[in-house]
Amino acid sequence: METKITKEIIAHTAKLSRLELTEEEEKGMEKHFASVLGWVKTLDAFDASSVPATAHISDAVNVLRDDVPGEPFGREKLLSCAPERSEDSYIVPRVVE
Amino acid sequence: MSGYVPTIGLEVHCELKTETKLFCSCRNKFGSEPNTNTCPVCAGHPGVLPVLNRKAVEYTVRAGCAIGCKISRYSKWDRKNYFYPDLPKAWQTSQYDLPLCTGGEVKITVGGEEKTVRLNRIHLEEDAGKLVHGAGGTAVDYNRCGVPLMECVTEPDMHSADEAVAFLEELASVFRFAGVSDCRMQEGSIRADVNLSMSRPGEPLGTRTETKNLNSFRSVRRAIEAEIRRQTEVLESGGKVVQETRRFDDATGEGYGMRGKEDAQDYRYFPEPDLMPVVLSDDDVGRIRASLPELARDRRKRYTERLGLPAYDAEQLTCDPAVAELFDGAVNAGANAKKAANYVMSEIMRKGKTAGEDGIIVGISGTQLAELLALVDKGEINLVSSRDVLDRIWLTDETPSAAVDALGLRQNNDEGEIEKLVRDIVAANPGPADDFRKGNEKVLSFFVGQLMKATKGKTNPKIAGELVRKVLSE
Ligand SMILES: [Zn+2]
Repeated sequence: METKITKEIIAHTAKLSRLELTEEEEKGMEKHFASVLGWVKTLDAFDASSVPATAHISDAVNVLRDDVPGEPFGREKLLSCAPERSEDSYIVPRVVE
Repeated sequence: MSGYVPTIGLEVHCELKTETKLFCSCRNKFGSEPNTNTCPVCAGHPGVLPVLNRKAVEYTVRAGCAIGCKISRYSKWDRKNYFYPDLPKAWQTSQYDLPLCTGGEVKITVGGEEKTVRLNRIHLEEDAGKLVHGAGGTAVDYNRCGVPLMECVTEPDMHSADEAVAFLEELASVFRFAGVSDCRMQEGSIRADVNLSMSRPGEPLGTRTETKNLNSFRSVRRAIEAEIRRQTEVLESGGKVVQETRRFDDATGEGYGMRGKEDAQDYRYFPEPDLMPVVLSDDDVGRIRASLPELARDRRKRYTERLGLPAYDAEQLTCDPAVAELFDGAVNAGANAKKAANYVMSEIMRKGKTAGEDGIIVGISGTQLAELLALVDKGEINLVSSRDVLDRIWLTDETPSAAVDALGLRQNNDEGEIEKLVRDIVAANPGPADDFRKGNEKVLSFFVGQLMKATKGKTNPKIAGELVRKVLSE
């Protein structure tokens, strides 16, 4: 299937990722997207008709753990990684729904 | 009359009551200090690996068994991608095309008529964090992020707010009795999205809107009623309903459209590479099915048909699994079914009532209740003082008998002793005694009252009444 990378696709994808791109960046992305898709297209050369469909490359299933609480990790260690924080929470720019 | 009929489908989210989260060993606990139940996995740090909670899978399968779903022998995980600060990974781990349960149905009774609401699927996913919007910014608490959440999607089988609420109540009851979720609206552990369209009978369904995140039965009802009014007005004035995601504002009682909400394709679902599929054998499913406790409907049937209770009692006793367990426990320990039912419906319900709309605290065991009722039955204590015993043994494992002794409540049933006291009181009150002999029956209660006062209420009132009459009539 041929997908033409358009300005609209770039703008829409940027919006979904909450990115603001300049016109120049959009143009650069257009080229970059096209080259990534071209690279993935290499796979078309492979005849996959005899390979069963799978959701995962590994054969493992049922990797499960018991429902037992672990040691608390420590809020301070996590919050100290945040660019902005309060005493007990992460702070992000006010989001309006 | 407009002739438009609403068609309603629901998406219901229920948090599972596991000890830990879906993909990490953080506690699944409501009401903790913000961000104390978090770790690099649920806080979305790079390089971490999620590991699936076995119990969450079991609970979802058990929920599916309770409503007659087909249990998938092979199911898998997918990433639902969106950027919002309540999900630190920027995707929600969910199930897209191969959910754990498909199909199923819930029976509801509305206006005396039984109806079936079909389910499309139940899948398991992770809950998101909580946002608190402030002036300076938005504070994020990830305690709820990663809590196991079942999403139950119905077919568009409901046609009124009454039916939708009846469905939610029945679904919550099934999940509570199955022991998989507390379904507490106040704590947000059950929430619903409403899909609604209007159409004339015989015509194809109209364009639907989705009202998101309703967190009380009352909001569900009000949101549906408001949306029926709004869509009917639009259609009757010749307009078109726009397909959109909406919010309902509880304060104003009105819904409003949300702009910029993503479409399904914008979620760019793809298989989750960090989690392996779940494969269940017939044995696994059979074992989980066998762990399913008796549900409310089955209990009601048993209470009326086998125990001979009125339908009203059966309804009351199955309002909450803890209440039904207490009642069954007391009956199993030898209590009379009707007496136990009456006591549970009056004293226990009164004492166990919590402030909110959901839930009741049951502070005694079936054995304790059976013994308490036996003490009343044998006249060791009276019904009034049984409340003091209840207060004392509530949330403890003290036996009612020990509590009666500790409180000094044991009734005097010794007729000889009581008769002697009655004679003393009658002798000390010749006036009222004469009144009785002249035919004034009312003074009987005066003498019983005097007797109770003299014995601090510990005289068997039945024996007291009989003896007062006997002595006065001599
Ligand atoms: Zn965690």
